[in-house]
Amino acid sequence: MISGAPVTLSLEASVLETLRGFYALWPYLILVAGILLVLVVDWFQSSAKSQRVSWIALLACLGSAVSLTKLWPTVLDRPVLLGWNALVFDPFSVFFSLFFLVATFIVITTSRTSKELAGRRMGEYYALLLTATLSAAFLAASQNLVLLYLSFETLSLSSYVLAGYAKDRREGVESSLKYVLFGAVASGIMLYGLSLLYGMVGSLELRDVAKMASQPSLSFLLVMVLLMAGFAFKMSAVPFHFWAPDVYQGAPTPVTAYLSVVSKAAGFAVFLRFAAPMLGVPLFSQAVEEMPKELLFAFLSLLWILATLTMTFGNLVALRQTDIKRLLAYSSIAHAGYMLAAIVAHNQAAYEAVVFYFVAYAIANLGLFFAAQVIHADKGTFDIAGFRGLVHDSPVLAASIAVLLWSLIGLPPSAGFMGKFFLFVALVKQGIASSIASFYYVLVLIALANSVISLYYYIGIIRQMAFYEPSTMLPVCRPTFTARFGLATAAALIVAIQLYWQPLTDLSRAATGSKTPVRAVASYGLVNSTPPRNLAVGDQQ
Amino acid sequence: MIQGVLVLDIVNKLPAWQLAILATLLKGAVVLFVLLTLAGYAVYVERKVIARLQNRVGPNRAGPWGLLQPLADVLKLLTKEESYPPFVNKVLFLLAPAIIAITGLLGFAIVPIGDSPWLVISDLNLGLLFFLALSSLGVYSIVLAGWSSNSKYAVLGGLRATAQMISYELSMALSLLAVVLMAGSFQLSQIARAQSPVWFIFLQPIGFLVFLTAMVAESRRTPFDIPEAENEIVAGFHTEYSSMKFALFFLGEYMGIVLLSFIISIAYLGGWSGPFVSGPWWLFLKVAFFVFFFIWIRTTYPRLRYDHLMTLGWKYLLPLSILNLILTALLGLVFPSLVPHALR
Amino acid sequence: MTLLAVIFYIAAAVAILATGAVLFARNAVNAVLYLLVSLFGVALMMYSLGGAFVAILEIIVYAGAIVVLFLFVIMMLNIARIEQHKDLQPPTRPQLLVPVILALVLMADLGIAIYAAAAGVSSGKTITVTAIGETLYRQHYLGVELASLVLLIGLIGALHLGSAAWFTHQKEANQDGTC
Repeated sequence: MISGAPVTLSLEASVLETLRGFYALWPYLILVAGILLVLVVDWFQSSAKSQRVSWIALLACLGSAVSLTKLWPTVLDRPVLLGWNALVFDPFSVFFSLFFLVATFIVITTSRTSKELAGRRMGEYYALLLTATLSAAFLAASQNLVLLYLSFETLSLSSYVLAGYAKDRREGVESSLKYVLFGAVASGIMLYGLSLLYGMVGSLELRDVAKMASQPSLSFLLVMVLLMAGFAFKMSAVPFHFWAPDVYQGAPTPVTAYLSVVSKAAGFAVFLRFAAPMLGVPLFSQAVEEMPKELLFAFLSLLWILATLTMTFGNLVALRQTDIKRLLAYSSIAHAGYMLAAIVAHNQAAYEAVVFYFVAYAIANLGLFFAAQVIHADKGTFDIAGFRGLVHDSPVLAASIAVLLWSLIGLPPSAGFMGKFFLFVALVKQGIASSIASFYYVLVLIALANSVISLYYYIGIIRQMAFYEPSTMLPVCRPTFTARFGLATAAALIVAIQLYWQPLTDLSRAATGSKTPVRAVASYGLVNSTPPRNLAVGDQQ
Repeated sequence: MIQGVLVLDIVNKLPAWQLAILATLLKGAVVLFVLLTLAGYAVYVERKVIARLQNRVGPNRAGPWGLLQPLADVLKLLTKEESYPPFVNKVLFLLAPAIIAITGLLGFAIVPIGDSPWLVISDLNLGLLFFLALSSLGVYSIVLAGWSSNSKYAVLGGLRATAQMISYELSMALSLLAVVLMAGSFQLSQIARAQSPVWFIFLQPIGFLVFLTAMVAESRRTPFDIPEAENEIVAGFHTEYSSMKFALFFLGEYMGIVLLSFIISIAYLGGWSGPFVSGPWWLFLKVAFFVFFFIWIRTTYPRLRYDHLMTLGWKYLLPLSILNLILTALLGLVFPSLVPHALR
Repeated sequence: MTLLAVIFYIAAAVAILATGAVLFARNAVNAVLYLLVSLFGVALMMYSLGGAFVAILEIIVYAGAIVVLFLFVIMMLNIARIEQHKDLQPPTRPQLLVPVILALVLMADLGIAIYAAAAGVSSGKTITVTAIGETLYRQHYLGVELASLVLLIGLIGALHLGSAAWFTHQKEANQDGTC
């Protein structure tokens, strides 16, 4: 239907298609309504009661999520294209939209109790948060270079302001400025790549870009390198990670949690979507265009190096951190490296693994940043010293944090373990099928070694919580019931996923398209097994 | 006589494109001569009218009724010493008055004075946009004048003028856009022709009022003359200027007034159309009225305060012009007969 | 190579040189002037490709509004501090030489364009305003909507970061806000 030659539709059919398109747009329109409503209602609130508008934001998230779940069966059946192939609503984008909405919902609830944000006008905050979510969802759904760049820019702009939202705090403003400068350069490079790409392809649509990829050209590789600057900036992958530690530390904690989950996931989602046809992974609507072998290998090597550098750098630098937010920043850089490593495997299993991994990562990260916020509220510090002897203050809190950290290390029994397991399986699978098996196996070994390094600093926090007496200099941490309940739920989820992962693997499989009966998908997984194309290289002028 | 034939002979032999350029140059020369004279007499008229409104006599020494006063003024300015204050940046200081004179004069290139291709220098397709581009480039003159003078009053005047002109340009452009919507073209002659049964002033009353206000602000005249408010900041951005460079600023200002009068007459008052016999004279009559209007309100209204000026521009005129644009589009959709020229 | 291609490449060369000079200019005002030349170069490029409307919008929006605001900001900086900073002082005559030369080249290029227009050497394709409107509002309507969201967010962000609450700890900053 979508891939291949354009199909001319009868009038009724095209009207139906348009209606279907707007039906698919409905959840996002709810978000837009939420943004505007938040701004207008906040206007009539006194500063002290400004926090009330968070209810509107929560409601908008909820409404949008509910209508997305209603959309899910429709798009499972057949993806919806909207606006002259500008946006595509397939299970992949709908899944990521839902993921962003749930994460935003949690971030909004944690923002409501944040001490760092207390006493400020919150209308703009929630409006920016919802806009960022909307643009992240559009980023995952964009099928057109214009939409891709515009939603990228919307996400960046709202993130910049959110990072510096507490504008009287010096570090907040500083981090925001760094973020802006860095982001401007990264998106500038990316825009340059996009314009080159448009010049080469002559079309703005991603599927035409994919067709371009099947012809070998060095300039296409250059374009991919330039585009990687933008994607890596959002993923916070080396060498575009420099903003992450400062921004994660300087931004208000809920915003940090948001950036580490939604913004990063949006970066991965758009990269997965963009690279899928070139890597030979059929992501629904996209026809698989096999890259020439040399080009594909060059691109994979680039990803390989990026992944290795990212995880090694993240883990090594995290060893020396004493600030929990900074530590989690480096840890999140390292996790971006693991996920990039999975993409090197460029098969369906890898895509599924990344989606699975992201869910596990999001639960742990949202929980840990919330824990940091709770501890900061009572102890007034983000230093790891604040975790010392936490088990005496609140055993539930300490136990939950321990489980979340455990999951980030990737040790059983936790969702993180399953995530890492699937990542490695994807790589090994590709290694077995490939003639250059060591290319993949070495990456697995490096990732394993990195997990061992990360053990040191994650366990360090657990040790501080469990085996030390609380510092007498700091006040006692007394988390509210809600906080304890929320964190315990997160920990329980982590364990539950380890015990019963079937629903999540099913979901990630559905989200990356193995379930959908698209003809072109017949031989997914192994690039080597796709049928040889008629055109030899020389045939193309 | 023989020489005349010779010239005609040469002209006939020229290729078409050279002829076109020659014709344009000739038209330009004529317009330039007329305009420079007109600008001089605009000053004279202003002084006379203000004097009348204030119960004075006005200039009456040079020539009969003081009619040679502009000539005397120009001679005085030309013979003054060409001086640069020691603290200025010479290049930019010289560039600034040149820019405003050039943008002011260039604007007339697109103004049609009658329904014939001979009565306009160059009837651009995007004429109205050309006018807007020139008026937005004119701001550079003031910014650079204020900056390069290296003096407090000049910088303050430059800052005020920049803020003011950028603010009011928006409402001006948006109100003109509604006219474009109705006429279906950016071409000034087309816009004038589109008003053959009904002038746009009747269809666009809000747009007309917004443009009228923004027009006065754009030309930095009282009551919007805070960039040169003489009792606060001496003379604003041209405090340090004298002799011919000052004359260029003066010229630019009066050019601006005449040009804006032409634009408003063409965009809202049907251009050269009028009762009895349509023709350029009607346009000149309308322009004369608006020039008089500029002078009239100068003597009538006191100067606005800076914050009032900004409030008026951003909180009233801009929303009003946007509202007008939306209303125009909606009315055009609901009653297509109202806007027969609009593109669909 | 057609005449329009010549115009295009000259304008492109000027635009690139001027943009490069923006990066290397030691003086802020000078950099802005270079930027101006670059924008005019781009406008001429657009024109030579048949996009007169885009070219003139480029001048109105970028040269006429955005760059003016850059100059405005430089002017707003504290005058006392400018005297200490060499890079904020008005440019000297030799410093202005290069932008003037670039601008002259651009004018010569414009002269060729005028000749081309008068001699009827056209690109064969003029992009009309109607065509641009159709493309924007029919084909890329989602992009336009998203762009409006970008602007809204930019506005909200600027309002938030720039609002007076910033200065609550230094009272005198609030009092000389106007000029």
